[in-house]
Amino acid sequence: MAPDLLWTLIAFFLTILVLSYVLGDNALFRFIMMVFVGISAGYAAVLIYYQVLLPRLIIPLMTVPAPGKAVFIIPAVLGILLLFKLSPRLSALGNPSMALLTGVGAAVAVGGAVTGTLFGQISGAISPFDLAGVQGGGSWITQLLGGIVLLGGTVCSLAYFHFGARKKDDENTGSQPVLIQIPARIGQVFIAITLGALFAGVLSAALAALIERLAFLINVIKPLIS
Amino acid sequence: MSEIICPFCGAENPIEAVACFNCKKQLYDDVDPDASPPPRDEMEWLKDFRGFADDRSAGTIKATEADQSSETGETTTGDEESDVPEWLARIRALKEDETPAPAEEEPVEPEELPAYLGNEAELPDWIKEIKQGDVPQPLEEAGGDMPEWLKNMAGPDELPAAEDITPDLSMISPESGAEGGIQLPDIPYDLPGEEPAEVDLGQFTPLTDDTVDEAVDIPDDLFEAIASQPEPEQPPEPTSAESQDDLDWLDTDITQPEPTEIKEEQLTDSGDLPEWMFEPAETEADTVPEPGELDFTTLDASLAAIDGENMPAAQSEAALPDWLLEDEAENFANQAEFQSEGAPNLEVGEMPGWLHAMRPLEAAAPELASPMDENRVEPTGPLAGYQGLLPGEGVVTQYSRPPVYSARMQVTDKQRIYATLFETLIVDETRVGAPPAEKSTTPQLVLRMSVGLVLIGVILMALIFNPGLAASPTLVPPESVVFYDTLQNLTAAATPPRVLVGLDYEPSLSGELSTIAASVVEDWMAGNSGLAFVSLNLSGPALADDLVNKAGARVPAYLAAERVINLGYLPGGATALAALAADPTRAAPASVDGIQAWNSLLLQGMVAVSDFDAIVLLTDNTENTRAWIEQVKPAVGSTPLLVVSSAQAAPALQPYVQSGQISGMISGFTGGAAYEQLTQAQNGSIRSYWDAYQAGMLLIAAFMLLGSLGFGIMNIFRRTKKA
Repeated sequence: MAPDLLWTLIAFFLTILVLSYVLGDNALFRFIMMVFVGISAGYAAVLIYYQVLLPRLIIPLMTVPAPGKAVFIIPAVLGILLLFKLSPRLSALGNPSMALLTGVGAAVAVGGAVTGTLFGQISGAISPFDLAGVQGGGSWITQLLGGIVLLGGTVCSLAYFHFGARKKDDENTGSQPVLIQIPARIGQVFIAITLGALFAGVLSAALAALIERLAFLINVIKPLIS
Repeated sequence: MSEIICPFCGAENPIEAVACFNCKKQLYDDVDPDASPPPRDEMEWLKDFRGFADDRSAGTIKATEADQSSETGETTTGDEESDVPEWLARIRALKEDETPAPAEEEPVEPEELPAYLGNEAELPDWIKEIKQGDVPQPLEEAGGDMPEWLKNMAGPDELPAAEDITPDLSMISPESGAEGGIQLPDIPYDLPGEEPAEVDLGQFTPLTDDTVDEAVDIPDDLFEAIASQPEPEQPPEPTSAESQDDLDWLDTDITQPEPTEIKEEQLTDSGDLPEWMFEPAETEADTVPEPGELDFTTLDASLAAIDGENMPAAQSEAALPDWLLEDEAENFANQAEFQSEGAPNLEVGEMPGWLHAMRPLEAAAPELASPMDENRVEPTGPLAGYQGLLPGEGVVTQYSRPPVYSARMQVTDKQRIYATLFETLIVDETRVGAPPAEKSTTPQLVLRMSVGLVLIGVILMALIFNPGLAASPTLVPPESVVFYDTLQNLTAAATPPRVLVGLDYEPSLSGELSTIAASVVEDWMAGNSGLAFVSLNLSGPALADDLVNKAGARVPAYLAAERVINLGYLPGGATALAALAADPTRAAPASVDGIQAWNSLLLQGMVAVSDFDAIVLLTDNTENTRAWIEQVKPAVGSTPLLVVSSAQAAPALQPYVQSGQISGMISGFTGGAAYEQLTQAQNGSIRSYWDAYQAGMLLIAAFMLLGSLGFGIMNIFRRTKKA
């Protein structure tokens, strides 16, 4: 038996076991879930060792001359300290590593969000109003309306997430001003459409995955039948 | 003093009265009955009397001594006599007439003699005889038939010296001794002003005298019997001037008994001694004190022996061991201290009624135990003979049952009404109702299975039969068009493009993404593009190999071994992307095969991400895609960023497409079908799935519609039923 055929049969039966969830939660489905978790963890460990630790830490520590080893000793020490997080009593020793990871990650994320997303999205919201650069051969009216809808949807969606309220003297509870309430209601519609689109995308992606698996099953069975 | 008592009839008269209103006799001898009573300030006798009383109340020793000396006829100073009123002078004169002339012997100094010795009227007869020179001869000289025990007691050879018989006060603190620690009842020396340091045997000498005279109450027949005894061999010199020494023989008898030589026969031969006198001698024979040691217990026993009523106690004390006797001596000293310090004239406190009502001692202690008699001697049992023990039998007999209190709560009618009302309020809360019937999950299970099976059946039918009913999309999204145009422009160039492919999707969605990406990768391969794969997922390298294998199978002419390099997993997420944008040669130095990637033929000469002709991102994750846009896109400049995304990530990535940060994008099967429509691919993977995809989407839409209608109708019926 060729290895490809063996792996194909294994994939076939595993796919059948996963699809057994249609009949409800069962032992076969739970078994195959555990198999997937185990395989994923083992694969990740092997991959990290061979693609991260070995080429980027261990080999340099053993091969690089002494002056350059300090560059690799520091992450090695920090990595060892991070292992102390496994012990509740000694977890404090891993705090420096965690502090480094958190600090660097936050700095990178914030810097990227400001320059990549905030400025980029502001520029994208303004661009439809640049009638000089009408794209796609459409009319400027269409682009302008699209820009207005886009801008209005953005503002209204942001207004929906404005939870501040001003308290009046004769009322125990505060209420939002009218200038906030109306855009918030409109923004609620935009948000509902967005969530519907996301749900449709998830459903479409799941359906595509199901189709691909069913096509695989058919492709496995069809040669056997014919 | 506001009244005058008549000396004749005893009637009380006002102080102004001159004659008694009862007997009509003159109250004053030298007062004229016709004269009016003298004014109050002219009553010198009363002033003197008051002054005399004040002096006595002051309690000064000098006043007392002066008074005593005046009573004993001693001379006073001229000033004192001048101050003496007339009536007192008459009294003194009368006393002087009645008092016999003092003896020729040297008078005893007041400081050395007790006060009572100076008052002859208070002296007993035998002491008066001593003072008058009728000194009783020693028994030996007097009778010659003095009993042997008495001889031994009084024998000078056997008597220790005075300093030797000084009482051992070591076990009594000086303070206690000074303040009456040695409590001898009514000892004349126990006067104020006596220094404790001056306590010596001489101070105890009058003890016998005083004890005999006042406290101990020795019967007269005892003295007579003693006086009738023969004189001892060396009796003390009975000089009236040294009356203190006159009693040394008796003191010696008390302090230095010689019980070992006392014979009962001797005592019985003495004749007149009472019978109980023999018993102390027998008990003393058991405890022989050391010479020179003042044994208080012996003293106490001797005194008790004289008193016929305390004879049993004396016997028991004599039988006590030495250590217990020492404790008893301490108790004796403590009692004396207490009596000397205590204020005997304190009035007994009277508890008010309200305070007594607040202290219902009878409720807590039904019967107070009777005070323990410290002098009680245990008559029976192993502790027989001990004194001051707790009376066990008495406590048992005095015990009474504690009062029984009712545990029943006494409430008023109002409180009972409130309790009943409260009970009615909480009775419903405490009642456990029947659990609601568990809804059967069978309909839901059947419905879910039906939906799944129907969906799977429809898809299978579409895949198997592939009817081709679904038309290809005619409307192509602009981002898909940009994607296609960019790819075509790059592959149409003379130099094959080198593309950095970021593979960032999970294996669970590889069925969708690998199908879409396969068409794109095939086109890149068809243009002999160089592909460098890098992944932020652990499964990325494996998925990249699978994708290359799938796409390469359709492009046989493409040399994947030379034109494809897998840089593998890039750990660190957004930080790794920032490092990759800054220096890709250090961020991903080697391929999964261990080859130095940046020295390979494909990537030779590239030092930055911007050196790539395009960056293609295969993703199903919005967050990772945004990280690519935020970290890598600013570094690549004008290099196009093309995205092949899953349908679930497309709505979140659309704003970046709108802003131009993503140059072109293909999302989901719809985007893939549009891309294949643009490329005019005849055997595209997406096209084979398109019918099934459209059927499945239609069925899902139908299920959603039917489900919404069904639940809507059920709600309507439910509301109608409730109404």
